[in-house]
Amino acid sequence: MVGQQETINLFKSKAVTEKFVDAGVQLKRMSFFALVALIGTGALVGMLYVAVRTTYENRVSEKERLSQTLRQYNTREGLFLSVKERVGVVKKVDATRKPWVQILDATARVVTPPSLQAIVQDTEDRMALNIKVASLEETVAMAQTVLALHDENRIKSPQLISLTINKDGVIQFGFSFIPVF
Amino acid sequence: MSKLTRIIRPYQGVLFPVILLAFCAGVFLFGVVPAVKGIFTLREESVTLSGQISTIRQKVTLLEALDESTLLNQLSTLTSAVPTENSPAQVLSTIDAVSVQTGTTIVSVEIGSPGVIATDSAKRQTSEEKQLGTRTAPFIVTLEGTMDQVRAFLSQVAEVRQFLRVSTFTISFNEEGIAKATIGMTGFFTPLPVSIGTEAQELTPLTEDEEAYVGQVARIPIALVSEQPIVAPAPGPFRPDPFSP
Repeated sequence: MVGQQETINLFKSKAVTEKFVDAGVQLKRMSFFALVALIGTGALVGMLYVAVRTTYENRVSEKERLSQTLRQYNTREGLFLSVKERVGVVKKVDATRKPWVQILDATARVVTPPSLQAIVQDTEDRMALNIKVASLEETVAMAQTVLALHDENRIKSPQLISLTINKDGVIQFGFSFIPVF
Repeated sequence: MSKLTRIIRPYQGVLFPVILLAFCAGVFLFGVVPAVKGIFTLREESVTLSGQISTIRQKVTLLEALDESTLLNQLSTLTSAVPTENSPAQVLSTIDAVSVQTGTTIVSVEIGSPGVIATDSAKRQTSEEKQLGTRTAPFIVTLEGTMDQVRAFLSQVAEVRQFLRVSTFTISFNEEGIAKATIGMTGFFTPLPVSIGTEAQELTPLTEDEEAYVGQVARIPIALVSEQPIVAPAPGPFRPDPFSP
């Protein structure tokens, strides 16, 4: 007997086959749903793509049409941009100009020629007056006018730069201030 | 072969579904996902396009409403205030006209850099020039007259169409009360633009303030000697700037 049966099959072939059959059924079901889902998703994505693509192409052609119209107005646009840009530039330039005449008028309240020898306005916007008067009273009166201008906020930081009295009694002095515009 | 068949036989039932699942996964990963990404990209581009269309439409509407001759007049007004190029002749003409109007005598006019070899783009801009968006041309005017005449000159020179700025001045008086004024002045000029930017660049109309300001500049008298009228600017041809983003 033993001599006739040379191999023994130890696998439980029936149980294994049942397991595979169950798994196979489940997998079939899953693969079916996956396929259906894929077809559904594909169709949805396809429709969405067509819709988005159509919108995109419509917009491209709309842009091209408007661009062509815009190109007809190149000169007008250039002129408009030039005006727009230049208004800003001219305004800025205008704002840097100072009404020096106002300050000259203010200084005329303090002193006029021939007592006024010179007016110097340097780059730091500080103005200096060189004055020559015959009496101390005149100097005091001028100083009072300078203080009044300061109080009126027409000038700021007034400073006496120099004061010389020569033997003839002629007083020469200079003072500086910062004009307020 | 029979050995392979024997191995496969137990899995025969699951082989097809597994292959189908793998196929579905493959199609999903390499087909559907990139397609969805593509849709999003296309949608974003479409939104960008929509914005550009809106801008261009707005520009077209704005430009259709503008009148070229009005624009040219406005530009002419503004270029007479700040010319397109450094023109010492025009500055001298303005100074001369103001001098004649005020009765002062011009002793000398010293122009800083009447003509240099470098082009405007090669010259280094000062910080003020960058701030103002213009080039500057400094010059010094020496003139004589009474105090009232000098005062009138300083007043008039600020009230002429070509914008000149008084930067420094020294006024001295001789025994007869005649004033000698040395006035440091600055002229301004800036060339016209040659490019108009990109299509998608927004265009904002002139504000009421800007319109009013152009009108205000137009009312400022032009002080030039009669032989030299203001030349209208010759703008263009304007082309889109290829370097604009």
